[in-house]
Amino acid sequence: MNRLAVLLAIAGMLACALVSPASADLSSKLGALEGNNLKGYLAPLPNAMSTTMNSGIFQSGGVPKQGFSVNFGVHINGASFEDADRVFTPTDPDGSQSGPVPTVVGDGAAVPHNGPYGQAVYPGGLDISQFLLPMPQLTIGSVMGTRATVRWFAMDFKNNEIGKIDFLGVGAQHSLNQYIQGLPVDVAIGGFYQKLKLGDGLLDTKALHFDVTASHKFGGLIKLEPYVSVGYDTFDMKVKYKFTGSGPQNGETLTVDFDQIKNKHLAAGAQLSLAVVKLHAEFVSAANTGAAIGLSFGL
Amino acid sequence: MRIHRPILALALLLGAQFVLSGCLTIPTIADRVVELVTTTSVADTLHAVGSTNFILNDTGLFDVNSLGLAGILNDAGIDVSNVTGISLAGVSYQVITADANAARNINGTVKVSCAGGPTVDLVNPFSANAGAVTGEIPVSLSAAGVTQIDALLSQLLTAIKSGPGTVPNGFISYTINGASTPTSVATDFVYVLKLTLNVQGTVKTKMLTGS
Repeated sequence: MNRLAVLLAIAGMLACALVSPASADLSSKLGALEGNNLKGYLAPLPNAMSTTMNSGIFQSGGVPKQGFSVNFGVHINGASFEDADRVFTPTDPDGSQSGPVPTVVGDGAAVPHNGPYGQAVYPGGLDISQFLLPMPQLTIGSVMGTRATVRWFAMDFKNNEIGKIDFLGVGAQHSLNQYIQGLPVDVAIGGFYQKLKLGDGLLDTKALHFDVTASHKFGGLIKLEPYVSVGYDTFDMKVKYKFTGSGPQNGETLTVDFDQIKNKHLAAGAQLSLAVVKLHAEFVSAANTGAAIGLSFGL
Repeated sequence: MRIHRPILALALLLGAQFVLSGCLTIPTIADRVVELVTTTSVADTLHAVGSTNFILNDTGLFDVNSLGLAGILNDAGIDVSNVTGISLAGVSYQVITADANAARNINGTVKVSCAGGPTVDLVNPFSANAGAVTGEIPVSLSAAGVTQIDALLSQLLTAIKSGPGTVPNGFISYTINGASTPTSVATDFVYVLKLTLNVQGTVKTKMLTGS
């Protein structure tokens, strides 16, 4: 169960893996929730994950045409939840719908529903109003006004709550200034693809992001670079688990596909640079309202 | 007007909204207590076999002391002291070997007596086809039987938390009565009676969240 709590939260998955050791079989603990109820329980996650995974990728429209540059850092991207995200109405085993219960971000107390076929107990949530996802990011450039960005994290925690995590993001940003002379700001187009997997197919997500970023640098030794970007996100999420609740599907491995999320992505922020240290913060309006901060080092 | 000024202004405006809307929070690792549920079950496999005028009359015992709750809790990562409840989730039957007569039908009831208490209905009168293999089919429950079983499970939880770990008389005695039709052909099928239990407990976990 402990592992379930962490995994269902997703928000803390990377951080929790580092701070909260335990052991348990996740998939079997998910099992008491029937497919559609699992979908309801996890419903706030796709929007939140889409916002966080697709945020904080590019902080500048300035991509040199040639020359070596490298930047490595950790970004923490966040999304806010609405009150409506905290509950959902499950379908009880007898097919009725008797009232709201917590989603994964809702209140911590479990809620029992009694019906003619017995008692269904719906798990509590993690009582959070924000979802934060930390991610390491490496950017290397530039060739023909193009630089590459990679996010990567992979580890098998074995006796830890998380189990196995595979996270990979790859993308690039391409300068438009080399084609359009005299632009008063730096402008670049970018695209980024990410995959995040937990456990043996327990959670499988894919995120795709495109944007146009415009920025301008101010200052000398200490540089301030405000930027804005307009883009488009998609996000897919799939959960696979063994159903252990009562009923005809007992023992079966169920796959729950969440509807694909597609949304515009607007971001505005600023990056502060001092020598090799860079600090950025941005506001995001995407699937959810969100924010991102990051600290990185680079040349 | 130079175009980078609107960019700066827009960034500052959105940055202000970022701060004012409470988005700018300091990431912290916070403790969270979550109440979760896991399920476990007990089951008996029963062979209904008999003459042409067969009357179903199967009996048996479930011993709650042999549920292995300590192991279940251990697997789930729950400390015994954090268990908040054990209760009956449901009752189901499953025909695993079908009767040769596809029209075989059972009309019956399931009664229970817990810890030597009175015998009461657990399942409302039901009708089931036994002429084909089935999946698990939940049955409608009677409050009297559910109350007895939940009371026994509550005693078990107290016993586990307070030390002895078992209750003195932890048996759920059940009786399945019913009429088998058609009566012109002998009855012969195998079915499973299963009781599923909810085990609720709290776990403490750590979350990366905003402060």
